[in-house]
Amino acid sequence: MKLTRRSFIKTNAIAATAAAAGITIPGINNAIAKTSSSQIRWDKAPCRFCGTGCSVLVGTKDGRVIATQGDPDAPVNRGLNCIKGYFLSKIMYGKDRLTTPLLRMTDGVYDKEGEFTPISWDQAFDIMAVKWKEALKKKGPTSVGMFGSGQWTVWEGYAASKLFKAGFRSNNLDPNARHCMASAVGAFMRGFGADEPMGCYDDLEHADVFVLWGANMAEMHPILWSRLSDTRLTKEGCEVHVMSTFKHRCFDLADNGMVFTPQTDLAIANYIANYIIQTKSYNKEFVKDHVNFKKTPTDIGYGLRPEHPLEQKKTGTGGKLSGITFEEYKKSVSEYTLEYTSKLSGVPEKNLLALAKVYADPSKKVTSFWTMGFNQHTRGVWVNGLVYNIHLLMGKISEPGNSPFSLTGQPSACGTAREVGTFAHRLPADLVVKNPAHRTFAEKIWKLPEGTIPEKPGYHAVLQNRMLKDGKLNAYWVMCNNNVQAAANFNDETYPGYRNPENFIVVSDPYPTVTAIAGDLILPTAMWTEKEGAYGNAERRTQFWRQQVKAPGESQSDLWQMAEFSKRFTVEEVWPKELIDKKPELRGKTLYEVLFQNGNVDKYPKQQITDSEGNAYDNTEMDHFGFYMQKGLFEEYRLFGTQGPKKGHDLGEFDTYHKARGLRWPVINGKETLWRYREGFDPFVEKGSKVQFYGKKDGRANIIFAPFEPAAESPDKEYDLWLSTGRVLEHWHSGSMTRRVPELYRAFPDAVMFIHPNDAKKRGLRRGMLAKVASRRGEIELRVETRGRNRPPEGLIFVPWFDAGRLINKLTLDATDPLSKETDYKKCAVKVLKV
Amino acid sequence: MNISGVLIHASPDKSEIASNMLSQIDGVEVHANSGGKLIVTIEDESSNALADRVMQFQDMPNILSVAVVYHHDENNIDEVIDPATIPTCGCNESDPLEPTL
Repeated sequence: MKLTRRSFIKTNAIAATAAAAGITIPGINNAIAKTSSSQIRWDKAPCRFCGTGCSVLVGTKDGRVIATQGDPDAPVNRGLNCIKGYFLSKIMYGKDRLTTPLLRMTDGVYDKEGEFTPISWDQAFDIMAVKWKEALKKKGPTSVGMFGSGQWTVWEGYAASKLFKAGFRSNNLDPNARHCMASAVGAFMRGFGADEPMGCYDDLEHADVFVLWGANMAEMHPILWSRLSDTRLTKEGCEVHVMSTFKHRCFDLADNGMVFTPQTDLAIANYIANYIIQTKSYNKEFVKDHVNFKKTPTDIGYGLRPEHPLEQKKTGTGGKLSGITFEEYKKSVSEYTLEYTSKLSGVPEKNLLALAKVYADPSKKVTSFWTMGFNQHTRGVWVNGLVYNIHLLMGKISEPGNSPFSLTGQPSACGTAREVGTFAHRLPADLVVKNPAHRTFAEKIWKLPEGTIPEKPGYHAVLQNRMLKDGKLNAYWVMCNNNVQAAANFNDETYPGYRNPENFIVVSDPYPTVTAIAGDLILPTAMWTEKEGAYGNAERRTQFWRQQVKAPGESQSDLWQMAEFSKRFTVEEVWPKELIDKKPELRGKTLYEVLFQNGNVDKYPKQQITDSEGNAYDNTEMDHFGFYMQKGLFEEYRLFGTQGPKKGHDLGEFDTYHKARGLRWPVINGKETLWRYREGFDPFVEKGSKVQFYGKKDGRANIIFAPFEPAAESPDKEYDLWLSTGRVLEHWHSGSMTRRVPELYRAFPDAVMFIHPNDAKKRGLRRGMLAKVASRRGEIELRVETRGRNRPPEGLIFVPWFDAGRLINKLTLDATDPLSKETDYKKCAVKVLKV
Repeated sequence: MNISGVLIHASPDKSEIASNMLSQIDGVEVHANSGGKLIVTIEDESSNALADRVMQFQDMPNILSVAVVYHHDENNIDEVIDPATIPTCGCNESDPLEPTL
């Protein structure tokens, strides 16, 4: 048969798609011809965007990434790519890429009110060192800090942790993951004593029922949604239940779609627990052997500034758990009857009952998913925990298909922010700064004198902005995130803090984001495959990539920047004499020598990086520092898992990850773990114990009662609508990358306000008109959208936050979960007016 | 010439309707429908077509998810490689990259 060029390519397109779908089409040969010409070098890398962790093949030619495609050998995405992932190759090539350090200057000297002026790296580090030393001298280590990222590579987060917690002796290091995952972490620690999900993405094929609690997977995790859709369409009896405060694209697949009044998810979860107990459906054996019952303090406030009236009014505080009996727990949930919960939540009784029944049916395997709907919640830790309660009551946990699953929004929220522990209170592998034994262990691994790491947790994300405004945090480095756009309450907290004349703000970014231009010094930064990296996704999968291309101009990676900056300080300039006296051999050394030339990090000499086919790759940091820094950092970091006091955090050896399509930890003898805490799946579970939640001393998980409590700010007469913020398929987070891809920009150029047609009509508005949205804190103008993918009920509007020209966080309230310190971006009160 | 392979999940009971609607779009062909899993190709002269079509699919009734599997851009391959001709953000009109503080 003779093929034209066109039909040959088309046949390839059909074959590749059919293979990804797992279906055979007669007459189509599934052996896909190599689509590319031989001059293109292909190598794997995890996607730069969300927490799914799809693997993509990166095509490089003449020093430039020219194409990406779904990696057919990747277990996560099996050759599929979402539309953002498809355009990955273009994120590094925006026209306004920064290529040189820029300092605000007037007449050749630094001036906070000056214009951004190109300077050299040397000049940049000079002024930074001056400002850091000034702050340290004047107010001590609590006046310096860093805001990091769940998009950092594993070793960048680890280097930041060493530099700040040990080097500068400041725990004022927090990641932007505080805004997305802190509540999930809090609930994992309270419930199981160990962070991150027990299950994995294989649950997407094993489950009979999927329940979405505040996750719009169709837009935010499209590849997982494809896998979920596939199971729903091909498995007999499979059901999908979707809960949200407005209808979105997941409702198209829902067998049971439920729109609830904001904050009443707390009541819905308790109702299900009540139903399970009332119908005696709970798994008695599991509850007897593997669970403790607890309650948490209530009326704990909303994490606002202490002088806020809501904080003055609260009667409870904190999250210290106290033990209760099963009977007491049963009584506590008993007030959440079907009638009461339906009335409170606005969800019809029959829908709630259908949901409760699938959880209560022991023959149905249920996987629950949630993301920001649960985490960005002033009772985020509670509500995460309430879903664990349901799964624990039924014993539907830690086995294929039975899985409470917290999804993540950033590519390494798990791998870097959480596992490395770049939070203000954490150390690697679930260790915390408050625990003396944990600090001692970290100091031993890092070869530092005992007492180097401060005991008191530092300022968390929201507190950092408040402390900037109050002038207590003065030398501040923002890296790999866009917090001026991301943080709530821009007008009252964020912007005044950045522009406070007492503060010097450094922002490392590839692009001139809102945050960069709100700062004083901008450092041009290498991104994604311009450096060697590692990310950890939502299913505990650690994935590596090699450097594919060189960064443009003078851009350097975050790792390079931190290591170089550390050369500017001797220990005498940052540590007290008593501390240095404990390890006199450190005298006169720079922080670089202490932290990065400690015999661990500089252990692996310079080498040529190659893949299995012999292709050669650059490693800019190795060339510059003279040793394999990424490997040294990872191997040192790995000791926290293999030798640390917390069980079950083992990672594999550095070199294995460059060969594998990622491995899910704990990795024992090169073998990954798919389901944690259950015998037969998890090597850490002792023989004969069936299930062991070994993060807790007695091996039992906690069922923690927490009640419904109202939101921090609800609509009233004047501000009569709920505002929920979020994301859209085409853009990732603040849009600093996706808005620079022409195709994605065109597809969704500006943020709009999704509003119910009746609410629009009442205000004299029609689709496409410009309208003003205002809260007590600020206002912006947006186009009205009454149709399309998001359909809010009357009384609620939805606005995505990707748009730098329409900053919705001028309106949001910086109310946080008092336990996790994570902001509730889903609930505040606004009004909408005709312009 | 751009040729893409796209996997679409449609509601199984309405997948024939979805398939027919897709087939009516210029350059779009449905090659298989296996219980709502549609194997679709898109052919177009313009390099913007893929993004435009995928977005269009997302908003069509009875379509549950859309994933890109394969893309081939035969004519424009040189244009993609040459840095000078990389399309800049098509945003010069309203300049969305200029943040409003």
